[in-house]
Amino acid sequence: MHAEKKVKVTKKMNIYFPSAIVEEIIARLPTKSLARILCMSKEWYSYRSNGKLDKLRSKLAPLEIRILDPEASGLHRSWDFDDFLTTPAPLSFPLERPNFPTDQWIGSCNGLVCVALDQQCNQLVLWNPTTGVYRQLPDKPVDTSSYAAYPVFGFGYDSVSDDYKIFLSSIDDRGYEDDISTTLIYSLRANSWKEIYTEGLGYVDKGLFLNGALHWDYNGKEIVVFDLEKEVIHDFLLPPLELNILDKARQNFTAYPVGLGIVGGYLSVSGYDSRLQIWIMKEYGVQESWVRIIELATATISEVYYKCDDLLPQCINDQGYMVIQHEKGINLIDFNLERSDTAKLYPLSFPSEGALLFTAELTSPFCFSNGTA
Amino acid sequence: MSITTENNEKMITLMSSDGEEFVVEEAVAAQSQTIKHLIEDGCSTEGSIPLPNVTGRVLSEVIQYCKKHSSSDDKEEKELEAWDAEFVKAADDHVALTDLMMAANFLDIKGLLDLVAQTLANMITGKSPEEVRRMWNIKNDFTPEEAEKVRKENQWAFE
Repeated sequence: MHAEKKVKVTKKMNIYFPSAIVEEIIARLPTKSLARILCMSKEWYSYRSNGKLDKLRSKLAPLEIRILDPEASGLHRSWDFDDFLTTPAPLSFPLERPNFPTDQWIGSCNGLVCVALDQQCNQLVLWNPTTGVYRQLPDKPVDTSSYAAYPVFGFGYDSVSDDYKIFLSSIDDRGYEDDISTTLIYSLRANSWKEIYTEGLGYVDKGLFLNGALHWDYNGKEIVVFDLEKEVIHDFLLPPLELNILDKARQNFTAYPVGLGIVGGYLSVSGYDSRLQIWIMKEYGVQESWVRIIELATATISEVYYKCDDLLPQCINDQGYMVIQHEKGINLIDFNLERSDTAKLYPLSFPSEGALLFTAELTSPFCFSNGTA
Repeated sequence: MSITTENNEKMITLMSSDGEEFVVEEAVAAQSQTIKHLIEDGCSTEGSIPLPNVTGRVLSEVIQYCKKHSSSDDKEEKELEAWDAEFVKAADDHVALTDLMMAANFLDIKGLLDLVAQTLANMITGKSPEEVRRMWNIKNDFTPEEAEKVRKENQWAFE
């Protein structure tokens, strides 16, 4: 009909973008903007499954840390760590959670959150709270539901085999003389479980993921490390905390006043007695590189931390606030000691049990399955 | 043939795709890894290095950047940052910035590439797919059904 109408030729650009250029630009976008802009065309959408972009983003994209605050209803809230005074965004967990709040976070990594719907970790789900995509994981080959002890667990990413892995170690303590431990590894790439041999890990729980390995504080004595690539356990020495209540805690089998965390990308250990100390391992794996970065009289913070033994310094945001996770929830500490010589503490309005940090990323729990989701 | 200045700086000539010639110090031109390799491989002996992918307008901007960055040392980091901010502001719009980005990529000048990529990323942050399509003249090749599906799967990003 309008054949006579000529397409107006403008000096507008009509260029072919080399993929290296597209990647350089979109690697720097916040996650939500990235997801929106990739909806432009098929070619741009294909960057969603681009391993090179993922690697580039891990270096260049703004780190968007969220705090997941679970509520009994299954409706959760998500707080922006860099802007924690804003109203939280509602988040809804996609599945029925029958045993809430006894279910647990196995861990989070690259935007994925691993959740167990029961205490013995028989029903596991991988969930991306940002995109809402979730995946129920296959049953474990060994049924540990009758074990009394809670399993030791962790979730992380192995960059060598480009795979997400779950570590689960359960102790069968049903009246045998020697407890027998069963350790299972789930691989997302294979979407299956396998059993491996490890020595018993004792009574620790959630492993901290960093640098391709899971870390547990073991009875306030050492850090037990599980290498996700080699699938072996080794250990690191703790920094010289010299806590004056540690021996008593060991004798009484109470909680150890030592916590693991990640501060500024470094593995960190916090110790808590009359002082709060935070140490970081400046060079990962080098035990001589522990440096104490903070030491405070706990009197200034004891109101909030009264009886909270398990302090887990998590990370520092742009404003110099550090998230501290402990058994009663999450608090912020004003870590910027240049501003004042006593660290201020900001109890967040959501000190609910079982809060979890995750990052906003597009990683799909189906990232290794062709064609699905 | 290469020219040497009074300060004993070795000079080389760069020729843009539209035939414009720029005589610059070798140290300035060598900010570009691509040019550096060409010099090392002896490609500048004929007198000038042809750059078939870069127009004179863009090349003059690139040289401006390289001059500034080869004469500043680390102590002037703050000043350099301010200069960079002015530099991308002067590039004016996304078309000029995209040209600059292409040139930085071809010439392999990491600092310039980072600077322009971040500027363009800031520019498209918060924009809708329609707006960015218009910016870069990108064709929406999804069928209506596909578009619907993609939109549905990414609904959270549009809220």
